[in-house]
Amino acid sequence: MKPIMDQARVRAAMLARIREARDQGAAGAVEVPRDYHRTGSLTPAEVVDLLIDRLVDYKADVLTAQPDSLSATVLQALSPSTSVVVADGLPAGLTEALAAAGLQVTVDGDEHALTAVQLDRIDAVVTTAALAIADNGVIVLDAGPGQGRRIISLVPDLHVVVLRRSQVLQTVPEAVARLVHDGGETRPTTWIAGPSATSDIELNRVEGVHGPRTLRVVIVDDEGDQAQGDQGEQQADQRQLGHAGDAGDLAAEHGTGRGPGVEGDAGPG
Amino acid sequence: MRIALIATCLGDAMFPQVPRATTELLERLGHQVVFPAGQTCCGQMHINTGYVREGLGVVRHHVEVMEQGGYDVAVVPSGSCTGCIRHQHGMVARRAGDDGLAERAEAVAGRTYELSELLVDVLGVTDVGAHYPHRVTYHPTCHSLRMIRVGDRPLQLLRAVDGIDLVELPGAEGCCGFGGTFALKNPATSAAMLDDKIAAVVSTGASACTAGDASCLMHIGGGLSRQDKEIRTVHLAEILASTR
Amino acid sequence: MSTFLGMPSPLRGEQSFPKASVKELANGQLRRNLQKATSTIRAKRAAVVAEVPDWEELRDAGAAIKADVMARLPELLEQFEAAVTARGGVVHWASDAAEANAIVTELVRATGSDEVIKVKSMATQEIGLNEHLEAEGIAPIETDLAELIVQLGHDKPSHILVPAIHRNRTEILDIFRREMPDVPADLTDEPRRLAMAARAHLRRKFLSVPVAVSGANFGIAETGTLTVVESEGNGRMCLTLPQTLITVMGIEKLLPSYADLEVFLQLLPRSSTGERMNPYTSLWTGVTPGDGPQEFHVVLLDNGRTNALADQVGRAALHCIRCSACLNVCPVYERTGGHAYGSVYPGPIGAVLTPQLTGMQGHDDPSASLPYASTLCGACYDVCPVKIDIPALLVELRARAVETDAAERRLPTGWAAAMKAAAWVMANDRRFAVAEKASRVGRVVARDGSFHRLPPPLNAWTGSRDLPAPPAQSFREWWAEREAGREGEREGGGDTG
Repeated sequence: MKPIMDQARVRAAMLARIREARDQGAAGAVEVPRDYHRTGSLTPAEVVDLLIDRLVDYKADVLTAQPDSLSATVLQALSPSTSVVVADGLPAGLTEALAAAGLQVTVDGDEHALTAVQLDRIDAVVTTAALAIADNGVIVLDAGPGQGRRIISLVPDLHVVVLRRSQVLQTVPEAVARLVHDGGETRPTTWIAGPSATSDIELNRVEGVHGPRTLRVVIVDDEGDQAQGDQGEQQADQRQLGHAGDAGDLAAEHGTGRGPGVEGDAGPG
Repeated sequence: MRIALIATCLGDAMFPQVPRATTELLERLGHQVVFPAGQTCCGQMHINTGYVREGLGVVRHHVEVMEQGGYDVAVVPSGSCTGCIRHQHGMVARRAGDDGLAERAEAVAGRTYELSELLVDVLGVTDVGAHYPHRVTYHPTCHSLRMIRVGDRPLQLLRAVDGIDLVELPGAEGCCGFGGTFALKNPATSAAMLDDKIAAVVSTGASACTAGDASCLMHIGGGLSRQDKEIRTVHLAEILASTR
Repeated sequence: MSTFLGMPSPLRGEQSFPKASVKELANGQLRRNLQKATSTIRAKRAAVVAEVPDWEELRDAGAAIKADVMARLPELLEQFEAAVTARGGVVHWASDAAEANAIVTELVRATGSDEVIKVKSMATQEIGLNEHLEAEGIAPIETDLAELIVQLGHDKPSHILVPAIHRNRTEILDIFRREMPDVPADLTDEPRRLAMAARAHLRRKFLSVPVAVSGANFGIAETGTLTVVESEGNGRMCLTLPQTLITVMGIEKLLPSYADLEVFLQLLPRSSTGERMNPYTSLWTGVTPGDGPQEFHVVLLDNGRTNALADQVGRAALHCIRCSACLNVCPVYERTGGHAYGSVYPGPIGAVLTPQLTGMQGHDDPSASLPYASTLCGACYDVCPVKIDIPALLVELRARAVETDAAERRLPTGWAAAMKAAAWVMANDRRFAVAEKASRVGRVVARDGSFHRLPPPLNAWTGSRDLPAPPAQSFREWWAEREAGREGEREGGGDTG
């Protein structure tokens, strides 16, 4: 890449100017008071309930599952998609279960990297997440196992996230600390708080502009945990929350999975 | 207490009824009012218009007059003048390289109170024995609200006035559009803001609009008069000084 | 240093604020749109901020972190450059708009593309990048819905956050019909339909254009990480799909460490769109093999920021994180809109940032009128997430404007002469008393105790307001009379002095 202008000279002059200006307007060393809340105060169960409240508020669909009902729940969340892209590292058996149920499953990875145009023809994507933040309803993806390249959770119109209860933190500082602790500062990271939206036309909020227009979050108990809030053992804990009534309504309301109430959409590509 | 009255230049020259009412009120409450005769102005017009250097002489004069003592605390029936004395005099002096004057200014400011602050915080009174049987709406001026943060002290005082019918002003916290020389430099915007404030005042059905700053009242009153509204402006001090 | 005589610039209008605002105030549609927009966002912001029990502590931390950045800016920039380079990114330095535009153009040309997709970036608006690219035969395609509306409408943005707020839905439909080549024939002005038309129009571009230009909300010095905060998803598209990404970032946008995001990712969304969190926030560092752009460039922009940095008081304007909370509470902005300020940075922050970026070159410079475009009501200071004391900055810049003007003139302006005279009078009580008496001479022309029409400059007052005539007796005269009366009564008795 040939140098643009004489960058060395420009850089040196600019830094000299910045130093001079900084010295001229000097105010001395600054101490940063960090008296804001660094940790949360809710119990783990309350934290998850708070997250669900936030997700519902910004019109993501929420489903819950236990480890042995996870595949069935994810299939339900994917309905009525016929094709799905995933990355390596999803919970054991999930990818196989999706294929076995008749979905066209593509595993995106280094050897088989889909193009944007190919991804545009796929209905849905399933990923795990790095963590979630209950205070503001954020789900964080950081290219970890099960999450894949950024492009796969961007182009398809339906994004299903599989989140373990233990991944839900209450506050933003706790989340940032966890990301730093796990060495994620330089990984490509996306904080997701809902389907995309714009309020640019007369401040009228329109959901689903670019990016997946439907976000569905499956919250699964961690392995070995008892079902939260259930009495006894149930085969499939498929409580369903969000603005849909039941499984049938969920599919019907969302039609082709492209978002509610869309008419006249020219479709992708 | 011996309370030094700062009449403000506008009060002295244009609205003497305001410092006069302040005097009558404080004397009725049993205090001695003194009037440091050398006083002129706090300097905010100069400071806020960019003539900070020119304002230095005015600030220095204020400090010299008020340093002569003979009082326990000073009272100013103006949120903006109090704000200037408390938050800007030190800055003006420091900017001119006179840290000594800055300290003296801050000492003087430390004994200077806006009227509602004096009554509620220093004299510990909210019912001043006033009688004002009219429908009144209160406009919290921006300097009172945000610079010196009087909060609801004026409302506490007004609520205790016998016979008053106090109605809330819609959009009360919105600026009236005076802004000192802003009213002259940006008259179109100032008038647009004034129109909205007048509409809000009129919507309350009040016969009087009150505030803690005679300057804002001059602007609001000037607009009410031009629009032939039968609503008068009256300073907080005048209401509190009124008796049967 | 930009000249202003007749040369348009994104930072400087052709008219001073008082003149430009007259035209804008007369636009009823604009005023209605603005009033609705700003009052809606104000309420949303207030509600989500009220939810946060440690909001003031977050503001304190945010203000201090930004002050620390300015105090260590050169060192942090070098640290940032090293971190980005270590992760495969290339850092470029641009001291002004011309240099930045040249760098970006060259980088786009190197990709062989004659189109570039753009994520909304105030910095690129500031340097007039789009105009420059077009002149060089490269088509910039704005992908933010509002920026797209402004671009297709051949217009200028009027608000930092909702740039097309001056347009209603019918106007937007007209713009799309006229300018969007692939617009559906049955498109209506329903916002959802308009947004979907934009989606379809842009999707083709996202999937095919090989180079994107973005700005950055934050740059982390410690790690070289960049952050883009957005709502629609066009940011994610531009930051992920193309082969080459070019980010233009003002030098003041740094944060020292990754952990500092825990403060700013709370302060920004609640302050700007009044949400707990915006839909998408992207963070990336250099190049990640196989994921996203494989060529990454960041252009560090000065363009006058060092003017502000050199000023002990003025540098606080560089703390701004572009949330636009101050615009949404400003009673002046609410009525005049952004165009009146003549700068891509309007409103309260614009009034203190723009004049420092451009410099104030004398009394007739539109930039010099911006610090006066305020009543000093202080509403902006209350909502600024990083506690920039905008009123104090405005007062300081007014002093600068006056002092610079005075230094360059032989004769004072009318205002300066009057203010000097007034200061002379007010610094002495005898002169003050004399002036009071002299002012009473006007009483003779007052009608019913008021002036209804006065000559310039006071016609600026009487244009819309009456002015009371001075009273027959000033307060000090009343006091002196009262004291003399009491003195008379005390004659012969003790002195209470």
